[in-house]
Amino acid sequence: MDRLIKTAVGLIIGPILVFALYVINYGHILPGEGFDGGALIAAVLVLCIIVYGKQEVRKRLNLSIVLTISAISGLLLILVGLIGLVSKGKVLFYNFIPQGNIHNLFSSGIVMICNIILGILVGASLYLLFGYLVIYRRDKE
Amino acid sequence: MSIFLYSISILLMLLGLYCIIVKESLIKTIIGIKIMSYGICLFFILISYKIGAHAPIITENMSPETSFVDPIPHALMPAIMIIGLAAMGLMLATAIKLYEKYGTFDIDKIRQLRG
Amino acid sequence: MIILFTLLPLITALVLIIINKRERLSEILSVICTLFTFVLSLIASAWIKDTKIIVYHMGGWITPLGIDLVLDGFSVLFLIIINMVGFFAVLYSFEYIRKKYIDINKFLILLLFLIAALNGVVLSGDIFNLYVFIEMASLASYSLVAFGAEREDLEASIRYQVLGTIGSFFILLGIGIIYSSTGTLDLADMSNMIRVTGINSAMMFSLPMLLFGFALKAALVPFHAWLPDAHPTAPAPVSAILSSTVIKALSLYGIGRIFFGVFGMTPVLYDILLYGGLISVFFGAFAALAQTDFKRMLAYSSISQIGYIMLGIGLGTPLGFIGGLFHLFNHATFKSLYFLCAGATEYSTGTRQFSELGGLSEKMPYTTWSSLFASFSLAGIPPFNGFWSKFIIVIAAIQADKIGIAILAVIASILTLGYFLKIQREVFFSKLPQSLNNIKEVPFLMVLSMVVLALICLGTGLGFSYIVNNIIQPAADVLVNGVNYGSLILTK
Repeated sequence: MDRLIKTAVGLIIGPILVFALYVINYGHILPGEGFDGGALIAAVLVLCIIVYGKQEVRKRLNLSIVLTISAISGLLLILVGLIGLVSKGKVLFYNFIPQGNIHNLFSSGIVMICNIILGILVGASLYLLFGYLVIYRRDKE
Repeated sequence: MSIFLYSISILLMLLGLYCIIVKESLIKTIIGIKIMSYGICLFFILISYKIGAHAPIITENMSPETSFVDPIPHALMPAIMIIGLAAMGLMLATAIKLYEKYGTFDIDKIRQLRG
Repeated sequence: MIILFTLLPLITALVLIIINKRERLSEILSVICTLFTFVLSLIASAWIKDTKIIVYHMGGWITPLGIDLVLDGFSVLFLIIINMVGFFAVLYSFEYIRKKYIDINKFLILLLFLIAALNGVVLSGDIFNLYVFIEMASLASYSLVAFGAEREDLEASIRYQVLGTIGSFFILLGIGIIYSSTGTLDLADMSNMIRVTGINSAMMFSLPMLLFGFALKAALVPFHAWLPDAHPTAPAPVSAILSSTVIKALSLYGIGRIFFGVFGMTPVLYDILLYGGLISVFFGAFAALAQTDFKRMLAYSSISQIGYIMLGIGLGTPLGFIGGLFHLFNHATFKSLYFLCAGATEYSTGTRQFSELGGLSEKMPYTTWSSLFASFSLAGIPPFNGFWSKFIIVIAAIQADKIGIAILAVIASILTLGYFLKIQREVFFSKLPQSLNNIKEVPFLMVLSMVVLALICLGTGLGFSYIVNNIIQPAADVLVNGVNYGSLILTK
């Protein structure tokens, strides 16, 4: 790609990632939750692959490591639900963190933790979808 | 006014269905599936509208009797769109391997199994 | 405790993604997981003996506000079928996948996701939860059909994918229209609201949308075009689980919950199910007689037997419900056994065409006896379980004053006898061709799963009154109970 495009994209990746994290973190007050933020993270990573080439991105984010990250975050989500099972309420996904006032960041207990884990899971999975399509090579038969 | 908007979403769904059925190339079938999916998402968002209502976000200094637009379809739509994205990724991967085995995207020529 | 049905295969599949290369460990983990859910599903039929419904509120929110998991008699029947066939498919697949496809870790991950999603479908009490689990099961089965990545596998898979996605869109459109009319997504709340306000014309429009969507997933006759391509080319344990559970749990369960529980059945809807089933029975039976491929003939036979189940449910009487649901249970056992036997012959000889097979009974005795048991159940010969379910359907048809339907069901049963005799003669009991002189019996784990399934076929036939009273009768009670489903849940 052109040097102009590489410089411009390199300057804009940072603000888009910060916006994605803002959407995930404030998901219980403002519109957009884990799904939207995860799609934004994946969009940034796909943009990096398109502009900089697959060798550069694979040096920094190896595909098997991202696969392990997505599986571990899936297990973490189930673990958060199971902690609710053994605490006071005895049901899955019980809200065991005390809930504050209505407009603070740390209100509504378990929703914020689930949003963050869901954002990592969705972002990693959609990046893997694009990454495996890109590194595919024809069988030479 | 609302009849016009609902008819746009039905038109998108029918356009997607036409693309799936009539077009020859496999890639155009996949694009038709995406168009039909967007039509259904638009239909869900149109259901949730009430006339003269506010967006469903609680801000400060709000009187207790403001009416809100129904927030449930807005929360369901990202989930449905990401499921559609995963299905489309699977279809594209299958289409790439099909091109490698058969040499064409034409669905009339990909017909080795009979009956 | 009922959350373990969905959570345990999901946790095992995620752990299997992390441990990537060690095959023995992943095999042991998956066998332990499926055996545990199988035993738990057999115990679940004892939980609902006194209390008819068990409701589990996730997050502690009461019914109209939160997501519930609901276990009643109808769900227990499907849970037993799904986990039984899943356990035998996992046990069978160790040797089979290792010879032909080599990569067993990815296969077990996809199979465990499929079992977790199917368990989630039959346990959900929320209509959107039902849709998400239907999509998850469909995506897993699209990947499993294309697992071999040859020319035919990919073509069958792309046809299945396009038709399955269109079916999902019709279901989603129906869900949208119902939500806009009632304002709630919970099945019990929806049922109560329709009792109060009645069905308006917008909800009348959503009935054919839902019917088309479920018929595309179930392969009823005008929408069956993906089934005869998807079943022969998939690996044998995937064909077994696809034919016996996926095409039933995704569609017949949905029809049972939404049409019987929420809307209420009218005589017009019963007639649609009855005549649709009748067309499926004859189309499948006639098309199966003309095939030359072993598994393709079994795929058309599946279309025919699903028609029998629709015929039994479409009669509308309680005895008809018992006959249809018992045939659902029996078809799961004998059709999965038949597909596993077909896989065993393909493992040993390398081909599926009738012209190249013959006389395998001298070299492969266990496979021959298992397929004989499956054939006798399929045709309906007395001590096996197929006879009792077809007999109950015929008696129910005579009791409901539809003598013509009963005669047609008996004629279709004779056609079924015709094509299974053709299979037995061509594959197992004629002369052994020269090229197949040094084939051996299949390995021990495959023989074990086939023999245990054959003994289950025989045992279900001999002890059928026990099965009908304890497993089928609560399921038929749910269908008879119909629209009181909502009031039964809201009191808990």
